[in-house]
Amino acid sequence: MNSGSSKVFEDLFTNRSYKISEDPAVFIKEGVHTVVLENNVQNEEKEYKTFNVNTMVVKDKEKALGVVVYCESEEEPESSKGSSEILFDTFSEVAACVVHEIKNPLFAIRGFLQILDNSLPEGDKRKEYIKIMISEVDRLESLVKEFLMMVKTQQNDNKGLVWVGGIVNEVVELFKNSFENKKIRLNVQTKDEAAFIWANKSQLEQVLVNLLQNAFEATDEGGSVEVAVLKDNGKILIEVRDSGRGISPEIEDKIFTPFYTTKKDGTGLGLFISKKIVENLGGKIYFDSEEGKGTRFVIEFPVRRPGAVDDRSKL
Amino acid sequence: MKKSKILVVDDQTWVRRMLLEALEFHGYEVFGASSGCEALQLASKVKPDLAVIDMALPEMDGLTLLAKLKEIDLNLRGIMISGNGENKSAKKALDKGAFAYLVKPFDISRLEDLIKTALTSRDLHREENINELR
Ligand SMILES: Nc1ncnc2c1ncn2[C@@H]1O[C@H](COP(=O)(O)OP(=O)(O)OP(=O)(O)O)[C@@H](O)[C@H]1O
Ligand SMILES: [Mg+2]
Repeated sequence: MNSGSSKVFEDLFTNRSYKISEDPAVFIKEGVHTVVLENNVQNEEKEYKTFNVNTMVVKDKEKALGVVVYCESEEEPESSKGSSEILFDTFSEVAACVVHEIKNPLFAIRGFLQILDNSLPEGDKRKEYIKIMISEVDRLESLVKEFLMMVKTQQNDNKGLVWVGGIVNEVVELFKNSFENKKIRLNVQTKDEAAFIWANKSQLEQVLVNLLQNAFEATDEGGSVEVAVLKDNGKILIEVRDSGRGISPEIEDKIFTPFYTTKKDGTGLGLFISKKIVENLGGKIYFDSEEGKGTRFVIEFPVRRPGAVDDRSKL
Repeated sequence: MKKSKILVVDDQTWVRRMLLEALEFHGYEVFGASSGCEALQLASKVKPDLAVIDMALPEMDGLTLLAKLKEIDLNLRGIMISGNGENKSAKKALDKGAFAYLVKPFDISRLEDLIKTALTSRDLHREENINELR
């Protein structure tokens, strides 16, 4: 690992008239490091340039495979927020608080309903009313939750270099049990170890969770779901393929619109939010489907070369 | 058989009351507290077997309270409840010795199942300790 990281280091900075005043060892630690470069031109006033260097160790299970270094100039205009953005941050903070405050009373209502339910004899008609009330409370709760997610997608902070394969594996892990219980085969292909994107990790997780949840719900026992990370023509693709019921041409245009759902307990916000997140990250989301055969959802991101200083301009 | 004792700590009055009543209905001896301080005072008196603790308590937060309760009884089982559904928060709670983490709102039967498992694990643990002493 040691030699691997210093190699990246050399590739980045040789053939340039820069001298690094920091110990190269800093790059080996994961995280964001600020490095000041000194311009070495003689007889001229010295110039300093500050970079944020984002270092990340890429692991496959326990084995370390390599180190990824990503540079970003300090003078990135991104950090300067317009007043509308600041306003929006305040709004989303308030929204987050409101959502939390709504959750507690909903929880109390739900719990008392359950207590009521337990105290009624079997076959009592009022049990049915209680069931309806509980499912309506649940619907309110998921609406509120999705609303919070949506507000969060509009925030641009917390972005970093994200290893797509790692996220896919993490999310798949969450679903393993449910797939096993429903006897659906779950296949993961993350051969392209070096697929990285610049994103907010928890948002990307959210998108994958939504797609996997949809695939899970669309697929019957004995079916299969496949998740793959691929690189194609300079693009990073994440595919979620299921052998489920498919999407009929009649509803094709509607599934990304808010609140469109064909499910009894759905909010219809899953795909809408996923699309917002992906587009916010400069990507695309689309699908193809054959009724009765299955569906393939694809998330597509333009590739970025980790460690390439020139890529800065595209940030 | 003696009833197991459960301490419920949540600052939201109705949430606390609801949890207390639901658990009482299922045959537990229940105690409620609205803050960490109150919970600690109560715990040193009644010695609960298990505590259901809200993560976001005013003043002393839920995980700090759990640590202090474990100082009183190392074998106490803690089930953390929270409005925060992020993996990070759940992981932190489990790392800090919570038996389980539930995101509000949850189904009361889920909590009951978890309490049963937690109490069984507590009994098993106790037997092991007694055997070691022999
Ligand atoms: N993999 C899939 N196979 C078949 N139909 C799908 C698939 N994914 C989405 N759909 C259709 O698109 C609709 C909208 O999906 P979306 O994720 O936005 O909402 P939902 O799943 O209904 O609700 P929620 O995500 O809130 O649980 C679904 O109700 C379903 O009809
Ligand atoms: Mg969905």
